[in-house]
Amino acid sequence: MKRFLHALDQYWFTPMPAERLAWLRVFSGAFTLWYLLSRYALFSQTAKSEASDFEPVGLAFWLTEPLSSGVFMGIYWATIAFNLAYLLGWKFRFSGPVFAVASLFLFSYRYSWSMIYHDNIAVVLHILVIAFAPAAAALSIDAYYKKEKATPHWQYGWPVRLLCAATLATYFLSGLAKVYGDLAWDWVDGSAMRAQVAVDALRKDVFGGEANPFFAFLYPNTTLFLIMGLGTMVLELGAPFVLAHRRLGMIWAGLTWLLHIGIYFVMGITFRYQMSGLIFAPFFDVEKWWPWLRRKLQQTSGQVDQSGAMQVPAGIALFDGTCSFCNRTVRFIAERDPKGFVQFASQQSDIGRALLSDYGVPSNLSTIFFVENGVVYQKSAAILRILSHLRQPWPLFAALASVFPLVLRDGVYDWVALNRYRWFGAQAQCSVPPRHLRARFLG
Amino acid sequence: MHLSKPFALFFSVAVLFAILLPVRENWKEKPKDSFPLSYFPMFSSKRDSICTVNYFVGYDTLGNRYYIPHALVGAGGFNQVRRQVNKKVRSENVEKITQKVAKKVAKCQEVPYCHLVRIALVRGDFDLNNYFQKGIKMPQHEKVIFTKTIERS
Repeated sequence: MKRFLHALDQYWFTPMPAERLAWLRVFSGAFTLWYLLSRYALFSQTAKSEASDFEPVGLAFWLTEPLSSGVFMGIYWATIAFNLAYLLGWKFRFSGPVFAVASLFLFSYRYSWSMIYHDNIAVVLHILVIAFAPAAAALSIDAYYKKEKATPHWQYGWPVRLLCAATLATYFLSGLAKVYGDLAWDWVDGSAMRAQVAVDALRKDVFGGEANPFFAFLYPNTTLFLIMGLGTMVLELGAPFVLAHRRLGMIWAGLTWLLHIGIYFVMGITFRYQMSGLIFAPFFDVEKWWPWLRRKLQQTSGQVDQSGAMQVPAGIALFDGTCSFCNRTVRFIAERDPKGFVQFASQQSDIGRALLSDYGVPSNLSTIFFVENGVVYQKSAAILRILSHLRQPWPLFAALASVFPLVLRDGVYDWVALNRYRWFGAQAQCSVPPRHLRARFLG
Repeated sequence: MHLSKPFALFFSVAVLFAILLPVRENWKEKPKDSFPLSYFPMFSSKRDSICTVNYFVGYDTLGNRYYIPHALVGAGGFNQVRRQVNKKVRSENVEKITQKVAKKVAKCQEVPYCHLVRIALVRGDFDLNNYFQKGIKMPQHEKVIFTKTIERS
């Protein structure tokens, strides 16, 4: 018994880096934020649905009648606000649990109209676990202000283990429902799956849903359904055994992801959290993905010298030297760029004018330019490129901001640029940079 | 949020227990699904080779027949709308929903729905093998439950 408890302790409370749990917070938060914003019309419609269709489930169980449209949309926007705080890891001890409960209620209410969709169960469960764990110890505003680097600890290990176990449990339940349902083991030979898919395709035809146009071609292919049916049962009923070994978990995650891709091609059903692979992220060392991706990107953009050593690439920011706001921005950037990647020149200086002329770009004081690897970025694109080279959380912020359309970002940029003199004042001539930053200024 | 080891273990066991608890629905005579604690009943019901569906069809002046898409029938995804239609048919409360769909069709500017003169809520029996293998897309039997003329202002 003692040995068993010791083994359990070693397994469940394995020390893990804080960044892994933090990335899982970012993934689940970014997914729900995208989901909620992209389905604004659907949530608006839900708010106005017919009361006779209301069958409350989950956290909406206590409602005897639907909420008014205004109250529901208020909850929708409040959930989005807490979603942002959860994603950025801001006041996470408070914002995490509140967001978990708010999203649980919002999705419960959304599915209280005669149909429960199962594709978002996993993300809601993931958020519930992450929200009550120390998931903002890295990659967050909270961690930024704490200024302490979190070291690997069991506090970051058990939530990851629980996320894996919760994911596996949902698949296992799905397998059990098939075996204990009307179909029993018919799923194994593929006949049940073929009939299920056919009924779904027919219903989509008569209701104008998104059916797979090639389904009529696939329908006679019984071998395909045999493979998919058998594969589904093995992956679902075998899910608990995956906990035995880490590599087994990775293989299971890859195969189950392929299964969802197969479902999409055969049935036209998009399980977004599953197809994006985010549901399977807890099975992997996700904290290693970003440095790896960054290295690959640097290598593909030819930043490796002849000797094979990585060179620190330089980018040059060209700004309006007479604008107080721009000078403050430059100082802000320089202080958050310890590697000194970004160098500066005012557009009014000789070197600034020469650089713009070399690239054939006319001088424009109402925008900052950023020259990197022979490409000139301007307005919001320049700002985001610069932020991506600063220390955290700015690259994270840049990645999130890049989700917004360029026209919207540049609109905000233009508005600030237009008012910068009025709000922050102007200088008669270019200001002299402070001594400790002078080496970063060209010309 | 930092938890002590015993509390983290208790929290983990409680979460997993709650997720697995709906398994008992499999043995109930009338199982009930919920969110997010579901027993995942999708794709677990037996399907016969004949599939019965309640749906809306529309007709133009030439008698051409078109299926009415779910977006004109109700809010939510197609499965949600399908279930809402089934619920109305079961409760014999079909007049109101047919009128509502007729109004939506009357406002629709899209071809062919803008040419429809009549809609009907029907129950059709489809033979899956005929439908997918022989390309016979019409139902074997179709029973009209309620009809409504489209009134455009």
